[in-house]
Amino acid sequence: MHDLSFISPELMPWFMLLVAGLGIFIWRILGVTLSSKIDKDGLFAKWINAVAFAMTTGLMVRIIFFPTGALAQTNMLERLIPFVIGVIVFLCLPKKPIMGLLVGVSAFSTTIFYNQYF
Amino acid sequence: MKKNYSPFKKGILTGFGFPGIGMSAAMFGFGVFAGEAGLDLYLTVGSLIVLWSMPGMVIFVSLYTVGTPIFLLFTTVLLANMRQFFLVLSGMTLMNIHSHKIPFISKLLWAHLISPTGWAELIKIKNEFQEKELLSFFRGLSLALITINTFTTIIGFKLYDILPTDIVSIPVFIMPLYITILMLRAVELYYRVAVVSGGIIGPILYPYIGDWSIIIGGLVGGTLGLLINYLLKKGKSNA
Repeated sequence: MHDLSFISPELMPWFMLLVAGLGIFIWRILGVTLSSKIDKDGLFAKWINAVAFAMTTGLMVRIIFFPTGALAQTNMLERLIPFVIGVIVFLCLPKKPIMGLLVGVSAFSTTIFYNQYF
Repeated sequence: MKKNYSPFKKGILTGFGFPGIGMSAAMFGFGVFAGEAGLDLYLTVGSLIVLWSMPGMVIFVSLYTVGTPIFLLFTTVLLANMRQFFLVLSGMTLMNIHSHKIPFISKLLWAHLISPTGWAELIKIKNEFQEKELLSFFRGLSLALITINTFTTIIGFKLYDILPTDIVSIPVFIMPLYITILMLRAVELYYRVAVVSGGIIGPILYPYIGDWSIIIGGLVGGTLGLLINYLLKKGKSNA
């Protein structure tokens, strides 16, 4: 176990925060450093972008299926159905992406208000 | 009539528009979460600015409040945030950051501010501006996102014991739907395949391998996208 008694108790939360920050910053430094070696129009850059697309979508869909915090207090179907409705509306009206967002969020809000007050 | 804004101004307006609202809704939820967990306001805002990554922030609050050993905290945050590497690599390449004569520390600052929302907006806007203007756009976007997210985190923190949790979930729902729609707007086939496969594989693997599911889903989805694109092109050229 590491002895951290040299850090005053008031500063301990901030020290822990900096340690957590280091855990993220390592990846960012690595990203900046390696980005200078990449041909932005090359196949590797396309692959990196495709990976980022896939990861970001995976992360967002995961929030719907396995949420934390306030969203976790709602039922799976209460989240999933409005989400799918929003995506379907977007796919039907791809030139008006705002419609998918508005319809999806409205469907979710309606469900929440209905459960809350009726 | 469409107005021609400078890249910086466009970034500010974008940040205060739907992307900012979606992201700050999630930060509002984080403010509630941190307030419930017993953090003070300064540490809550500090974790937003220092970490600038929702998974990192949630892990920090969750583990710090139960007194997790420092090495375990570091390792968990490190492993859960490998995706930052790919986002930064992609974002820095998009902005061609090394063509700008700015110090390395500035590059690190902009890399620090790349989030899924910021990156998604860069992807969305990349054809509207010249490549050299994207950094200026990102500066404006980051400034707006920091401002709006700090504000809503504080509001969430202050209101955590007043608002019903169900109502708090409404703004939090905006971000995943908004960014998924942004991802689905990709024009190139390999990105579309990557989006669909990443969106399916990641959540399926999550119960078994936790945060690694996003990395594995991303690597498999991205590779699958390029592979299918290659095979289709090969098929067309053979036909």
